[in-house]
Amino acid sequence: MIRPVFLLLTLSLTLILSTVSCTNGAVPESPKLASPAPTPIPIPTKFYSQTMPATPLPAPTPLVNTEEITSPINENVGKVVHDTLPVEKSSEKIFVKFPLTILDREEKPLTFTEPPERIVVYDAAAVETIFAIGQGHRIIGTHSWVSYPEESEKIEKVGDAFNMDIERIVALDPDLVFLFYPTFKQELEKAGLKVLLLESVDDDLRKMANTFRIWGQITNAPNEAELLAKDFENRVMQIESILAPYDSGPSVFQDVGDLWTPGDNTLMGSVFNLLKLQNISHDVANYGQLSPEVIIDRNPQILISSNPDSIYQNSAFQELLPVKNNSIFKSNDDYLSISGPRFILGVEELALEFYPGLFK
Amino acid sequence: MSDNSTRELVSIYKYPWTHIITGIFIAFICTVVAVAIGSVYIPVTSVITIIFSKLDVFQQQEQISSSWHTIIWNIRFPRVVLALLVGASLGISGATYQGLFKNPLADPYLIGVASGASLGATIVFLTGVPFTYGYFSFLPLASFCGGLAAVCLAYLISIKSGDTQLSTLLLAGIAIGAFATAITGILMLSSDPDLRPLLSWLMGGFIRAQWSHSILIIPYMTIGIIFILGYSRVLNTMQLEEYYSESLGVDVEKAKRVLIISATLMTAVAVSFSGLIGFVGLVAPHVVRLLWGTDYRTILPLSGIAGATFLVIADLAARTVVSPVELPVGIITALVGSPFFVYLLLKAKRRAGNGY
Amino acid sequence: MAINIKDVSFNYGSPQIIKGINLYLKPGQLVSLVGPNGAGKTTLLKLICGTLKPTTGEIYIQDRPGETFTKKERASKVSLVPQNPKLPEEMKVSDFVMLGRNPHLGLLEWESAKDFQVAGEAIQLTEIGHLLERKLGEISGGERQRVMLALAMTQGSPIMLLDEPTASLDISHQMKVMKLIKKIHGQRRLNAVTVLAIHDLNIAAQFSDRVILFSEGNVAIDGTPKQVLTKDNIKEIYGSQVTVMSHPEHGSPLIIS
Repeated sequence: MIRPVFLLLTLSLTLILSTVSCTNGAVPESPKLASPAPTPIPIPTKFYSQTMPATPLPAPTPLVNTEEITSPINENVGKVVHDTLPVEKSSEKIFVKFPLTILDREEKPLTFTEPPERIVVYDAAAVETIFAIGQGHRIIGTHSWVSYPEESEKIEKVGDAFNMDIERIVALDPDLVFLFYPTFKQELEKAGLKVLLLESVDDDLRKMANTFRIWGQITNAPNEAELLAKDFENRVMQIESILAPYDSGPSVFQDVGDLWTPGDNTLMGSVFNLLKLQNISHDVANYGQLSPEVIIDRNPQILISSNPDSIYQNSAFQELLPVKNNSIFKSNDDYLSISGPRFILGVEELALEFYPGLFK
Repeated sequence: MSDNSTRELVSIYKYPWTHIITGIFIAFICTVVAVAIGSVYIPVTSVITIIFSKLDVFQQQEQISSSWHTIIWNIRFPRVVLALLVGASLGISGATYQGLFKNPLADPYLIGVASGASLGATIVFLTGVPFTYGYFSFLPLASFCGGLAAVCLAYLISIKSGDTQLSTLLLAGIAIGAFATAITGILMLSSDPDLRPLLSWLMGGFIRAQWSHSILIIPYMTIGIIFILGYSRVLNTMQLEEYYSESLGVDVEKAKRVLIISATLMTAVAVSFSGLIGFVGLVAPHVVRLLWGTDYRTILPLSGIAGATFLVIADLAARTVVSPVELPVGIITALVGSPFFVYLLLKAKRRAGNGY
Repeated sequence: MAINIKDVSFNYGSPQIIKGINLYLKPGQLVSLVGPNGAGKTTLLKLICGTLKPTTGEIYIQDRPGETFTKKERASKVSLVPQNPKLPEEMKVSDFVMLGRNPHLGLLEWESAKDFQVAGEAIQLTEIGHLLERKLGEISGGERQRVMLALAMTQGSPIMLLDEPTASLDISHQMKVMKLIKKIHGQRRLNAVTVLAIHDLNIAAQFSDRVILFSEGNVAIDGTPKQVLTKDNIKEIYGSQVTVMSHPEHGSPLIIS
C-alpha cells in the first residue's frame, strides 16, 4: 500500500522538478527593451489619449532624393549571372539577353533560351507580380487560393496551396513551373518539367524588389519590372527616411490567430523593424504561439490582430492599452499576407495608422 | 469460522480513502506548483498574496503590480483549473471505455469519439456560430453530438454485424474515427486559407483558457461523473462475459448505453475546450490499474485524479519549456505517454511470457 | 422455489434447439440434465436463467412468468455457473466473489455487513479463503470452479444452475467439486433447486435426485437415476452398448462401457 503511493509521489516530483529546472533557465531574461532613445518618436495620439498627453509632432523631415536610392540588394542569389552584362541601359531602356541564366533558391543555375510562354505559377505573390508587369497572359495555371488580380480568376486552378494536382500540371504542358515551397519540386522535375524556386523573401521585405526584377528578366519585361521595383524601393526609403531621426517607437504585438505571432526573423518582423516598432515577440524564432502571460508582462502598446474580437473578449487582456482604448488594429491580410506588389500598401497602412502625425 | 472470511473481506473491501486522499493531495501540490511557475517569473510570496487577496482572506498588504495580478488570476489559475477538469474528464472517460470494451487500449481517441467530437466542433468553428451565449456554449453540444454520432454509428454497425460484439464496436469506432478525421480535413481545406487557429485548436491546448470555460464544463462533467460512478459496480460486473454479467442481474444493453453516453459526454466537453489531447485517457487509468487493481469504484475516481494531475503537469511543461513560446500540450502528453505506453506493453508481455 | 417450464421451444434462426419442453422442477431437488452433445442442455439452462428468451412458451418461476421479472429480480432468484467462461485475469478473487451481491445492491449502494456475511459463508464453504487476494488468472482449474461456486452462492438465489461443473477437471477435483455442490445444495433452504447440465452419467447417477435424459431438444426420459439410467434407455438415446451395474457403495447405477 505504501509502495504505489511512494512511486506516484516520486514520479510526479521528478516531473515537477524537471519542469522547474526548465523554467529557471527561461525566466530571468527580461525582454530586450529598446535602447535609450535620444529622440523618441512622438507617441500616436490615438493610442494613448487616455494615459499620456500627446506630444507635439515635429516638422516632417525632407524626403531623401529618390534618384539617389540604390537597391539595397546585393546578394548573390537571384542575381542574373552572365559573362556579359545581360541588362544594358541605353536611354533608360533595359533589354534582356537570352539565353538567360537565373540562380534559384539553392543557387543552382537555370537557363532560359527564351521567355517562357506557359507558366504555372504556384504562388499568389508571383501571380500578382507578373500581372503587375503586364505579363499575366503567360500564366496558364495557379492554385485555388489566388484571387488577385481579377483576371487571375480565369486561370485554371491546379490544386490548393498545399495539394497539387501534378497530373493536371503535366497535362497543361507548361514551359515553367514556379513554386514557393519545395515539397513537389522533385516530382515535377521527374515529370520532365522546368521548376523554379526563388530565394524566399520571408525574412526581409527589401528582397521583394529584386524578385520583381527577376520576373522582369524572365518574362522579358525588364522596364516594367524596374518601375515596379523602383517604386517599391522608393516607398520603403521614404518610410525609412521619415523615421530616420527617431530611435524607437511603441511596442507591438501581432496576433495572426490564436496568439501565433511572427518573430524578428520573419517578413512581418522586418516590417516592424522598418517601422521601428518594438516587436514584443523578438525572441520568437519564425512563428510561435506566445504565452499569454508574456504578452501581459511585456505590455504591448500596439496590438495587430486578424481577429480583434478574440482579444477583446479574453478577460486576461482587459488591462492592455489597445484593449482599453478599443484600438486593436485589424490587419489587412490581403496586403500583408502576400509578398507581392501590394505588400507595400499594407506597410504604408501600418505606418499611417501608428504614426498619424508623420505619415499622410 | 465464516467470520474470519467475512472479516478478511471487510478489510479488503475497505474503501481506499487513503489512496484517494493521497491522490488529491498530489494533485493539489501540482496545482499549486503549476500556478506558481510560468513563463513570467513571479515570486511565490506574491502569488500567495494575490490568491489570498482575491479570496478576501486578508486585506492586500503589499502593492503588487496589476499585471502580475492579471497573469495569476486571469491566465494561470483559470488555465490550471481547466487543465484539471479536462484531465479528470479524459481520465474517467478513458477508464470507462477501457472497462466497457474490456480493452486496455481503448481510449477516447482510438474509438472515434474524439474525432467525431472534433468534427462537430469544427463545423461550429467554420459556420461561425458564436461560441457562447452567456454561460451556454454550442461548442460542447456540437462536440457531444459529433462524438455520440460516431459511437452510435459504430454501435449500429456492430449490431448489424450480428451481435453487439465489443471487438466489432472497437474496430468500427476506429474506422469511423478515421472517416470523421478525413471529413474534418476536407472541411478545413475547403474553407479558409488561414488554418492556424483551427489547427492549433485541433492540436490541443489551454492557451485560450478562461474561467468561463471551466464554469461551462462543470455541469456537463457532473452529469457524466454521476452516471459513471453510479454504474461503476455494474462496470465491474461487465468485465465478465456478457451473458454471465446478465445472469448477475445486469441489463447489459442499458448499462452500455448509459456508460457510452456518459463517457462520450465527458470526452466531448473536454475536446470542445481543449482540442485533441491524446494519451491522458490511456495513461491515467493504466497507472491506476497497475497500482490499485481492478475495482472500478476505485479506478474511476483515481483515474480522474491521475488524469488531472498528468494534464496539469503536461500543460506546465507546454508553457514553460520553450518559453516565451508555447508548445501544444498534446505534444507533451504524447512525448510522455507513448514511451510509458510502450513500457506498459513490454511489461505486460514479459509477465505473460513468464506464464501461468 | 419451483420452476415450471411450459411448452418452451427455442431456435437460433432455423434449427430448433428446444422443441416444446414441459418440465416441472420441484423445490429441494438436485436435478441432472443429461444427454448427448447438442441435445439442448446448456440452452435450457440459459433459458431458465433468462439470458436467452424462449421463442414460444413460458418459464414460470414460483408461478410467476419469467418475462415479468426485472434482470435483478431474476438474478436474485436464479444463479448460473457457466461452463468454462472467459474470466478477467486481472480481477482479484475477492472482487469476483463480491460481484454476486450485484442483484441486491442499488446503483450507488455500498456492500453492507450482511453482504459480507453472505460472501464470507460462501468463501468458507468453498474453502477459497486463502485465494482472496490472488488474481483470477493465477489460480488453477479446480480453484476456478470453486470460486465460481462461491460467486453463485453469494448471489443467494434459491435456484442454482450449473453447466458442466466437472468438465476439464481431474477425477479428484471432480469428486471434490461434486461433493461441494451437494453440500451447497444441502446447506441452502428447503425450497432450493439445483440443476446440473452434465454429460458424465456416473456423476449424474451418484449425486442427483432426479435425472432428465435429453434427446434432440426434447425430454426423452425423466425420473430417478435408477429409472432413467438403464441399459436400454442409454442404448436408445446414445446408441451405444453399455453395462449398468449397481455402485458397490451407494447403490446408484454405475455405467460401464
